[in-house]
Amino acid sequence: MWREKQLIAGALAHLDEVTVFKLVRKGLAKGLDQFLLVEAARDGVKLVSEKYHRGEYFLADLIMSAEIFREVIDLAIRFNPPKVIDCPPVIFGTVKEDIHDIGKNIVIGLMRCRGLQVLDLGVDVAERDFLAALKSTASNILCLTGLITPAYDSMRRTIALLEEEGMRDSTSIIIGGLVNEAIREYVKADYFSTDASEGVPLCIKIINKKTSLKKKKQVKG
Amino acid sequence: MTEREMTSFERIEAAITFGSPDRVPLCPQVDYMAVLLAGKTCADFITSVETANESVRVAFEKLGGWDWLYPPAASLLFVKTFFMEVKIPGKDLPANSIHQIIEKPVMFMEDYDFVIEKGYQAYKELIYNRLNKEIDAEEIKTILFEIVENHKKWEEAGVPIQKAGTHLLPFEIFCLHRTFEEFVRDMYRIPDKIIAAGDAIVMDLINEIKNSCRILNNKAFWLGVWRSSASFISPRQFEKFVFPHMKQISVALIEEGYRPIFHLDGDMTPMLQFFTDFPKGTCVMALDGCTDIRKAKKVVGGNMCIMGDVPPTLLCIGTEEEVRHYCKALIDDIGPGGGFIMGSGCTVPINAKFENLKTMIDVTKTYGKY
Repeated sequence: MWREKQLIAGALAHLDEVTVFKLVRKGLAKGLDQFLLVEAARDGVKLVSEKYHRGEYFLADLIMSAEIFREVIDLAIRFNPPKVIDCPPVIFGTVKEDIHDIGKNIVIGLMRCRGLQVLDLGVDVAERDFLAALKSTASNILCLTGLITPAYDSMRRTIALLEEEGMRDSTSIIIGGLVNEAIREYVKADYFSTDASEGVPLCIKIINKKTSLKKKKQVKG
Repeated sequence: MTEREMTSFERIEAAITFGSPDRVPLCPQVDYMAVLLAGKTCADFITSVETANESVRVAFEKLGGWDWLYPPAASLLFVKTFFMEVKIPGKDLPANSIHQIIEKPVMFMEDYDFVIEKGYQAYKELIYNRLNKEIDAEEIKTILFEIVENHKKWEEAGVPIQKAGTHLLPFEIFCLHRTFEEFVRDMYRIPDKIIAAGDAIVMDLINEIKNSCRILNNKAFWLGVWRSSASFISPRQFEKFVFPHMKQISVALIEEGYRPIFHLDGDMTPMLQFFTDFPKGTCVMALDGCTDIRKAKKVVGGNMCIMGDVPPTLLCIGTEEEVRHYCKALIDDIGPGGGFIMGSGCTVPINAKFENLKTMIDVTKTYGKY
């Protein structure tokens, strides 16, 4: 199994789609654990992500790795449905006055690949719609994205509305798109991310932290 | 140091051709921002050539003027003719929103063969049909006539117009029509089809640019790079899918006296080396703040005029002092030897602070003297 895992990860790291599928099919036919095969593909995605961070790979390569990974999951899912992270969905949307969604869709695809549940509100989302989604799902993670400068004020207004409604402290807010530290401060978000491969682990880290805090409170209570 | 102050025409020409400009020329790409200064709406700006022109005239006066004018009705013409779905202020969006392009699939995998077989005109018709977009030839003719008349007045007043039309490379066209994610799959799965389809339309694109330059009476034109930067693709993909057509189109037109302005949105730092392939003093590289402009100066600075790159974020939320500092640093680092035009990174955002833009202009006029 160790050798198969290495081969799958290596082929995915080279974005060699044909070889990845050949190896996964072969592994499934041999009766190998499908989750270990998916894990191997995820290792490959991780290698792609590392290459991306070193400047050896670019967004297109990252998307292709996610695409191959998504197809590997589809292949393996016939044997067992993937286990999703047990928590309310991440609320995600492009803010009011902006309709750019490529980055959003990439991140959501990667989040779902990692087992996160995501409620995608789409584009040009009104402040109140974010609020309503957070309330109806009991979610406490909000991802706001925007690629044009008017989006900054929409983000700021959305966050101000959460503040008014007394939900700001319980909600972790990540902004993405054409943003930086100055924009994060301006809109009063908790985090900013311009990189899908950083944004997804950040979300998982926040969920783990919130789950651990909740458990501690339950133990104390 | 020249004895008299140069005209804007002379200054821009000197910067592009590596002559000796008397100061760093200025080209803030003022577009929608002008409507707010003129007390109009974006909806007015996008529907009336006269309103667009008048708004930019008001902005030009209030800001103290600059050297190279972004065509006042460029967005209007773009919205009317661009072959993608565009949400229009006052119609699909609030009256004071800027227009937005909708990325949705209007080209499918099998269409590469259609392009190869039928060519560019048939492909354009196919896409317009799928978009349900009808181009009213008479309306466009009237708009173009008004634009040409306005441009004449600006130029008679000593203000050169930056460009004729905005044009795209085959890669950009197919990428926008397929949507980025689908197009990425095509790059990996059917690379030869993408290249062959590009080859099939490239001569028509050259003729389209010539035609647009002739109608708008301007030899400069934009080649828009929106998806071909390292923010999206690798240098290897750029070399394979983008650059051959970029070079073919540009060189063919440079030889006939046309002037490409490479409007480079996104991070082009890893692709800079490719731009050393063009003849000295014939093109402009317009950067938006994402590319390392200092590296650009090192790689192409002796060969190609660099324009940029006051970032939109700085113009929106920066302070006057921060803008002053940024512009002075650009003048110090990119200005020496000429071949530099102080520009905004892409167009000036609608919500840029007036005082920030004014600072960019004033600092360049004073500190930017050679």
